[in-house]
Amino acid sequence: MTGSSLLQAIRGPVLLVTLGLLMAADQLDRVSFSRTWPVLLILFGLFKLAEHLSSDKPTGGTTT
Amino acid sequence: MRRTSLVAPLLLIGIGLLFLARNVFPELQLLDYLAKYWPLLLVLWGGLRLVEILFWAATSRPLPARGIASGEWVLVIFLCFLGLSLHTVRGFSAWLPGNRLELGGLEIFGESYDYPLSAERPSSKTPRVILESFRGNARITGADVQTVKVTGHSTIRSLDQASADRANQESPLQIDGEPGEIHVRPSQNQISGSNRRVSADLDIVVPRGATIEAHGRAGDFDISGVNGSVNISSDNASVRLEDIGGDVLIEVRGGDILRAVKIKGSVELKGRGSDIDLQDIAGQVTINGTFTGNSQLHNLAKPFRWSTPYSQFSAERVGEMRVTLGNLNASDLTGPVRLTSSRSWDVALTNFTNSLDIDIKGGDLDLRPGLLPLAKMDVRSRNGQIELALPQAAKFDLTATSSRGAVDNEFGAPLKLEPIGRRGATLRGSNGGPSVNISSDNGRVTVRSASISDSAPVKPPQPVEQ
Repeated sequence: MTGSSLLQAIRGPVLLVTLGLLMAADQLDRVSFSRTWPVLLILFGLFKLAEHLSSDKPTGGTTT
Repeated sequence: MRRTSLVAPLLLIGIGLLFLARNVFPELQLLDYLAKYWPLLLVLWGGLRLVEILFWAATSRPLPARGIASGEWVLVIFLCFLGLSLHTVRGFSAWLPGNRLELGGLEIFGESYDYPLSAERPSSKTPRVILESFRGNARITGADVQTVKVTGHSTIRSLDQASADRANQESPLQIDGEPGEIHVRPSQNQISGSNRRVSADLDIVVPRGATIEAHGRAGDFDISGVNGSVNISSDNASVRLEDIGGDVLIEVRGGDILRAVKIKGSVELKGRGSDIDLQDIAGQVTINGTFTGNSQLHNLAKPFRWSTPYSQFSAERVGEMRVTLGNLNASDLTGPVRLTSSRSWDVALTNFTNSLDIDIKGGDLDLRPGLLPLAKMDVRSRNGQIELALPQAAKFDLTATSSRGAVDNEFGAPLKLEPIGRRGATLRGSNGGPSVNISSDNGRVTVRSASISDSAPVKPPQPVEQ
């Protein structure tokens, strides 16, 4: 429960930090943002997955 | 109790301080830093928020449902756009197809840097002077010289001095060609990168016999005292010509005003634009296109022809004419005068001769021929009032008809009223003059005798409210 809500709470900030880093990489002519934006999608997906897993465990971890 | 984050207020304070610093110490290159390091602002924001949340979690305080609220995401996106457009105008590489952003950015954030220009080249007495792909304002003056001399300055809009300097070096003013054909090239197109904009203010002195050809992108032309012809084509230009000896051809796709005063040759205007002002034109005048502003024509000595997609007007000579949206006032016209239109026009004509031919879709007509012998008239408005003021001594063979409206005889004999059907009427009468046919399908027709005030020139039209 706490794990899930913690994950939910830090999701926004972590995504924001990543966005900032990708933008920085873009600005400094390292990697273009047009190529790196899927990272944000993947990260978001990972968070969702982690939330799902951590909220599943205490209630119905044995099913399936 | 709901705990609110400290980050948003901190961020606001930070941005406020940044702008304050910029105002207090203008020499600080804050925009530069912002353009380069704005992503770190996002990192800082996210990082602070992360630390805050982890701290709350460690001290077992209640956690917010979302680390970053939706309103904050909106702010983030706004920041991204601002940062990217700043970045683009700064001349770093960018991934956005950012022309618009960049121009907006240049206009908002850029500054103008001026560089003096000057060049000279000997020429014949009657050279062709060709100004190519020009952006900016040019004043061309004819003088008793045998050189083409260009002075002025180029204005480079850019975010910093260094970049403007580079643009200046990349866009030298070139002036070359034979004595009989001089090319002036501001070379504004060769600038690499699109984060700077160059325009020039040129003062060009040419031999009096010169012929001018100019192809511009945007900007104004001001040409005077040239005996050759003038040929201007531009995407967007205001043109002012005075004292031109040759023919004038102006082709524009936009612009505020086309003014030509004292032209000895013909004048031809084409394209789209706003106001037209022509005065003392000795040659033929042709206007072809859509000019939506106020037009004033004064003293056109040769045939005048105006065509728009919906209307045609022509006259042999024009004393005075004013045209605004849907309004045409003219006086001292030499006919044949002809107006046909599939639109409505309110027309007032004073003192016209020879013949008048009007066929318009609608609008009120106020006709005061004034001069004798009376012009032959054939006037038809499909919907609108017609008022004709005939001089007392006029000879005519008149037929005035309104198919569905009243016809008033305020002239008296020899005119006689004959009703048509239930609503219309025809006024007929002849004393052996030219035929005058007037008809409105739907509107009042009045024939009256002219008073002295009727031959006074027309008053300027009231400004039309859009």
